[in-house]
Amino acid sequence: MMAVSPTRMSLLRLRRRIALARKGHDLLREKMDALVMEFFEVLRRVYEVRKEAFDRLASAHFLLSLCMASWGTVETEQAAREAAKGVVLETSVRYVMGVPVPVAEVEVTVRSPLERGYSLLSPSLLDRASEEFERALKLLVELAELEETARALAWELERTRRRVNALEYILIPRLEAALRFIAMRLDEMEREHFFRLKRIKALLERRERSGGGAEG
Amino acid sequence: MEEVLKAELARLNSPFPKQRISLEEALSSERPGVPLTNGAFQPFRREELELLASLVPEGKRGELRLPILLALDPGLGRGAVRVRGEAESRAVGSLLGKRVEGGELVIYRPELREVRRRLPTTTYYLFLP
Amino acid sequence: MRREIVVVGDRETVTGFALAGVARGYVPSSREEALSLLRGLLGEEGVGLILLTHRLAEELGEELKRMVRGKGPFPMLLRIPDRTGYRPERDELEEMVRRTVGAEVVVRKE
Repeated sequence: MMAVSPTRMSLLRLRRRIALARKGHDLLREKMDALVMEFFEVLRRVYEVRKEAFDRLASAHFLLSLCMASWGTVETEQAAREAAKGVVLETSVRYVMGVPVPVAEVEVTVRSPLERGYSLLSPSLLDRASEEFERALKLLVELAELEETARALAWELERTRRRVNALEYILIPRLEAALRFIAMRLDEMEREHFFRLKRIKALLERRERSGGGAEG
Repeated sequence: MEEVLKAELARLNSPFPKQRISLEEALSSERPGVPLTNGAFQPFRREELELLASLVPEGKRGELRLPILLALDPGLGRGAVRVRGEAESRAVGSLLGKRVEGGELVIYRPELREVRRRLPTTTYYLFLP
Repeated sequence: MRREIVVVGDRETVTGFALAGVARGYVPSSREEALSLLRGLLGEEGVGLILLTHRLAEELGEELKRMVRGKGPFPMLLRIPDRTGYRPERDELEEMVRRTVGAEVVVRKE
């Protein structure tokens, strides 16, 4: 129970605190609802893109292992080292209800065999493997964006939910209990006061009557 | 606990766009977006600007300010959101295929989901106490 | 701003992504090496994305999870299957969903 002195002032102050807590609770609950919606939307996209990305990656690996089998592992790895390395991410951050989430785009996508830089004698199997990995990479970047966003939203959601629950199940009930207590005490005190006045009045009346009688 | 509450409420609208720009301006800009109060820059995706352009006639593009603000007001009831601004309400109304009465639009959870899905970088939440 | 992509895993994975133009690839030879490598990469300002195989991520277990907790939007960390296609049974996101909703939710993949 909260230690508050049972005065009319404290009653008013408590009422104000309850109103604020209720308003805060409602606002945070709106935020929570919106976060849930955003989170599930992102999650839906994660599963969509994940399937596409991992399928593409699997086929890229398949082509690569074919290449390694027919051309040689060492030769393939050599070609990989010689590949013109120029992939980069253009990154920025956007905010969803105060939560920072990543935005990223791959700069170089499908490159022609000549751009790729390795020896012109390299087989087309290698080209196909490279192309497939390039396509997979683009999808994986999108997937990473989405997964990170989902993670960040989930974290904020959990945190917001804790606040909402703390308000709903702990703070507001406590404040309301304190309010009831004070209201009750004030009532009691008023009644005591009222009866005391009545007794004093009765006492005064009796004295007046007997005193008046004696005088008169 | 009330200290925590105050801190959480302060966080609700931060960061927030420092200023908004018109659709017209955004379309002609090389790097469309707005600065935020925390110093960061919120870029607008081109596809979203093009979608909005398809919904708003050329003459009216100067009136529509981005990002479109979606106001969460507990007074509206749980799950309801008000689109701020007349031009903005009309644009969102067009997107949803709804008629807008009196220059104001209140949308509900399924509609909000659709709006956020199609315009994630050009809409922004606003919490109203 | 511009950031780079880094891949951490086995030789085939590193080779494959090198062909795609990813310059930085690592094949750590021990758990400790992998952990210290990742700790370094997670702190590098210029890294935008770390591609990490599921196999290796699983080996690194809780320590990796602890390193990732509370990190910002960049660098992003994405777990990917290697050429065997291996993926763990428990999906981290499913765990998140369960915590969020308090029950197992099946997302309809329509």
